[in-house]
Amino acid sequence: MTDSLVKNFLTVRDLWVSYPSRAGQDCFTAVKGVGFDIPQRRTMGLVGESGSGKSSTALAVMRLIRASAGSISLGGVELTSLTGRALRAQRPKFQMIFQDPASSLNPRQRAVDILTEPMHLCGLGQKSQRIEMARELLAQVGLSSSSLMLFPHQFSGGQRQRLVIARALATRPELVVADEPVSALDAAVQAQILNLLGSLRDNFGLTVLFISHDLGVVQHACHEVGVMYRGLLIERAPTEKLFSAPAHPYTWALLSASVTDWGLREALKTIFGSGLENGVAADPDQKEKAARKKSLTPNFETTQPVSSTRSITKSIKWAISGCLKESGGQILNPRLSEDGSEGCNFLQCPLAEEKCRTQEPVLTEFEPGHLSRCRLAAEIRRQGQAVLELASSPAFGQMTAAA
Amino acid sequence: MVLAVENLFIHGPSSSGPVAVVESLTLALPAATTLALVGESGCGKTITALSIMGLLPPGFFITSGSVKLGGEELTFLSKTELRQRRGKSMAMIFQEPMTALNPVMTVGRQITEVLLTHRVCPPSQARDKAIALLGQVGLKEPEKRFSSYPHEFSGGMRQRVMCVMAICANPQLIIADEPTTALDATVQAQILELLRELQSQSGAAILLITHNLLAASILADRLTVLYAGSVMETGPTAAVLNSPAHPYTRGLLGSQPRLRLGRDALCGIPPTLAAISGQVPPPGRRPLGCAFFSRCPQALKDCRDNRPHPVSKGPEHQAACFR
Amino acid sequence: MTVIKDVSDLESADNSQRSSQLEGTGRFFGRLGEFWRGFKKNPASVIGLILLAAVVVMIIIGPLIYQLDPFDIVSAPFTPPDENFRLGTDYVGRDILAGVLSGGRASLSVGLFAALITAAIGLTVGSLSGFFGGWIDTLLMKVTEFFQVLPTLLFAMVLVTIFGPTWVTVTVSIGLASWMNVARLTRAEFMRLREFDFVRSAVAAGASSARLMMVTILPNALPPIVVAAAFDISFAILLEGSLSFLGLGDPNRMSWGLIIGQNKNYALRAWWTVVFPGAAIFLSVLSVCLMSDGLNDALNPRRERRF
Repeated sequence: MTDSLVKNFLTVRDLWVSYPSRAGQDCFTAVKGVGFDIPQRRTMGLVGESGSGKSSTALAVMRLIRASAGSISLGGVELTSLTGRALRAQRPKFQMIFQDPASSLNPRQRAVDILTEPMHLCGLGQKSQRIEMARELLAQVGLSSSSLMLFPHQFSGGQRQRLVIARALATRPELVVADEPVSALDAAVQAQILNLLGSLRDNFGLTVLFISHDLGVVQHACHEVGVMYRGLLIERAPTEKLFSAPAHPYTWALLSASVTDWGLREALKTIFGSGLENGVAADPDQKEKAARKKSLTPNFETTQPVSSTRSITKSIKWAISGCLKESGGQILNPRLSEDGSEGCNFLQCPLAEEKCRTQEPVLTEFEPGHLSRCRLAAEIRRQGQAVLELASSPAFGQMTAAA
Repeated sequence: MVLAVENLFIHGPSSSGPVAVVESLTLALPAATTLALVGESGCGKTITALSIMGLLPPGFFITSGSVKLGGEELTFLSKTELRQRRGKSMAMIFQEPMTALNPVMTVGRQITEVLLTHRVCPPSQARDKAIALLGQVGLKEPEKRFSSYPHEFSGGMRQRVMCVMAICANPQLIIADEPTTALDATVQAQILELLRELQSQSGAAILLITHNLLAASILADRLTVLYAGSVMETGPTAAVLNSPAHPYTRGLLGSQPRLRLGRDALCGIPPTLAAISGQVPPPGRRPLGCAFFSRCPQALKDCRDNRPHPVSKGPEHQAACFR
Repeated sequence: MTVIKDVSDLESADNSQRSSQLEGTGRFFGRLGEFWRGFKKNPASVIGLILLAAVVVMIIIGPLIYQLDPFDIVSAPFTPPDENFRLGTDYVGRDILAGVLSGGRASLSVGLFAALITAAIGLTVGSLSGFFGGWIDTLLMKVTEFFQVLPTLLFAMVLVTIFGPTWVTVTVSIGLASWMNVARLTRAEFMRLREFDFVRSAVAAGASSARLMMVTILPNALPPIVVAAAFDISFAILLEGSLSFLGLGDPNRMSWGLIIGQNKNYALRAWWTVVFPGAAIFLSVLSVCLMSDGLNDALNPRRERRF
C-alpha cells in the first residue's frame, strides 16, 4: 500500500500521435489516447508488437516527436506546451536509452565527448570536472576509465550499450525512457545490461519507462506493465498480476507466442494436445507422439466447474495454439489492414460477439489495479488462472516428464 | 546422415596472421531433424554456416576437417560445383530478410527465378508452383502476394518468403542463421513453428543458428553449444536444458529472463539475472586451455593449460568440462 | 583443487592496450596518423598526393628560382625549346617555362578558392535543406534546380563578362556556377543522418538546431562531401582553363589557360606553346582526382578492425 503514497512522477493523459503519410493527406495514427502514471522510482513497461505504438509513445514522452493531443506531465511540469529554449531547459530531467547501440552513438565522438556533451549542454560543472564525472560514469556502468578516449566502433555491442546508458545518466535525469534497450543484444549480454539497469535504477533513484517486445524481459525489469495493440493501451496491471493471468485475449496471444520456457511449453502443449502442431501429421512418428500425448491429456473442459465458460477456455486455447500463425502475420500489422472504425479493434478475437463489433470497449478497472479493455476481462482472468495453475502444477510436470 | 561435419578447423585473418575461428567442430545431422548451434556472437556460428554453404568471406579458409553433405565431401568441390549445390541440395535463411530479398523485383519473380534455375518445374508451371508455395508458408492471398514487392511485407511475412526461397528446390539441408532475431517475439515463435511444419513435410534437415537457447528449444531436437569456436556441450534438447553439464550452458540458461506465468509470477522475480560476466575473447586471444576459462565461475587450475575433451554425460549427451 | 577467481584482468587488458596508442596529448596527431593509415592503403592516391605536392612546390618555388617575368618578350616568337628557353617561346616571344611556372599560381589558386566557395554555398544550402526539410527544403531545392539547369561554362562566362575579367570575379563565378552538386550531396547526407538515433540522443541531451547541424551531423556528413569538393578543385581548374582559353580570364595574370588560349591558332606550327601548359593542367587535375579517391578511404570512420 506504499505505492499510493508515492506521488506520480510521470503522468501521461490521453496521448495521441499521428504521422503524416507520404502519399496523401490522410495520416497514420500510431498512438490513440494512451494514458498511464509512473510513480517515482518505479518502472513501467510497455509491451506490444512492432507497429503497436509503443515506440511512438516513448518518443512522444521524450518530446522527440510531437504529440497531436494529450498531456505529458513530468514532476508537475507540462511538457507538451513547452518549445525551444524552455523545453531544452527541461531536457536534463528526462533522458533516453536507445535500442541499437550501433546507431545511437555518434561515430565521430570519443567516449569522453559522448559523456561530457550532455553535461556541457545543461551547464554541469567545469571542463575538468566533467571529465572526472565521465570517468565516474564509466565506472558505474562497468567500463574501465581507459576507454575514455575510444571511439564507439572500438567497443563491443554490450560495451556500447553501457556507454549509451552512461550518456543517458550524464545529466542526472530523474526519468529514463528505455526503448528496447536489450533487444539488439545477444542473450548472454542482455542479462548483463538488465542487471546493470536494475542496479542503476536503485542507485540513482530513477523512474523508468521501459519499452520492449519481449515479455520475459519486461517481467524481469518492470513493476507495472501496459500492453499496447494498434495504438491502444488494452491492458494495464502490476507485473505479478498481469503474468499470473492476463485479462485480455490479445495479451494471451502475445503471452503464448512468448512462452519459451521449455517445461511450461511442454506442459501447455500437453494440455492442448496437438493444437500446437496442427497441420503436422504427415510423419507417422509424430502421429504416434501426438496419440501418446492425447492419452495423457486430462479432459480440461470437464474439470471446469462452470460450463458456460467453455468459449473462454477455447479462447485461451486458441491463443496458445498460435492462432497468429493462421493470420500469416498480416492481420497483426496495423499498417496493412483496415482500421475498424467502430467496436473493438482486436478483429481476430475468438470471443468477439455482435456487441464487440458495434461498441468499443473502454479501459476499465475490473479489479483493483488491473485495467483491461475487454468486456470479459474478469472471466478471462479467472479461466486463465486455472489453465496456468494446471500447467505449472508439479504433478502435471511429473506426468509430462514420465511420458 | 544428411550433414556430417568432422573435426573442422576454420582460420580467419587478423593483424598477426591467420587465427583459428572454429576449432575441432564435429556435427552430425540426420534427415528430418533439427540441430541448433547456440552461442554468443563471435563464437564462430555464422562462419560455420557459411563454410558449409561454401560462402566463406575472403580471408577465411577451412584448414582441416571434412564437411559431408549426403555423403559427398564438400571441401574438395570447386566453386562452380558448390554453386550448383547451393539452393538445390542446401539452402540458407538469413537473419535480415529485408536485405536478403531484392527490393526492386517482385517476390513472385524472385521465387520463380530460383525454381527455374534449379529446374524444379517447367517454366509454364513456375507461377502456379510459386503461388502454391506462398500459400504453403501461410501467406494469405498468395496470388496477390506473388506480384508484391518485399517492402510491402511485414518482417514476419518477409521471413516466410525467405522460407519459400529456401525450400522451393527441396534441399536436403536448410541452414537458418538467426532466422528470428530481427523479428518480434510473437512472430519468432510463428516462424519457428513454420520451419518445423515445413520440415515435417519435406524431411529436410535443419541447422538452426541462434544465440537464444530458449528459442532454439522450440524447434531443435539436439543442441550444440558453441563458445569461442569450440563445442562446449552437445546433446538432446531436453537433456541439455534440464541438466546442463557445462558451466557455459548453465550461464546461458541463467542469463535469460524466463517468463513466469500463473502462480510463479506471484512469487516475485529475482532482482538480478545470473549473467556471465565479461565477453567472448576474440579469435587469437582465446585462452590456451578451456576456451571458457576466462569467464568460468568454476574454473580449476587445470582449465588454464589443458583443453578438456568431450566427456559423456548421458545418452548422446557430451560436455567438454573437467568437472 | 583451487578455484581461480581473478579472471577479470583478462578482459580489461584488451581495452587498455587499444587506448594507449590514442590517449594523451597526441589526440590531433593520433587522428592524423589514423587518417594517413587509411589514405596510404590506396596506392593511386599516394601517387596523386606526390604528384600534387610536386606541382605545388614547382609553382611556389619555381618563379623564385627562375626569375623571369612571364609577360616579358625575351626572344623571337616561336623559338623551339633550347638551352636558353627550355620550353621555347610563344607567338610574341615570351618564355613558356616562366609562363607555366607562374601561371600555375593563378590556375591552382582559382581552383582552390572556387572549390572553397562551392563548398561553402553547397554546405549551407544542403544542410539547411536536409536538416529542416519542409518548405525550406522545397524552396532551396527549387533554387538549386534553377542553377543546375544553367550550362555551367556559359553561366560562368556570362558572370565574368558582366563583372569584368579579374581574378576575383573569375573565382567567384566558377564558385557560383558549380555548387549544386555539393548542395545535393549534403542534403542527402543530412536527411540520412537526421534519422539516426545519435542525433535523437543529442536532441534529448538539449542540443540546439545549430549545434545539431554543425557539431553532431556535419562531421559525419563530411567524408563524401570532402571527396566531392576535392573533385570540384579539379573541375574549377578546368573551368578556369576554359575561361582563359576563351579569353575571359584575367589578362593581367598569367595562367595555363591563358597561354593555351593565346597560342591556340599556332598549335600545329609550335606544339610546345600548348603542350607544356596543357600537360601542367592535365597533371594537376589528375593528381587531385587520384587523391580524392584516397580521401574517401581515409575519411571513412568505421574501418572495422578484423579481430
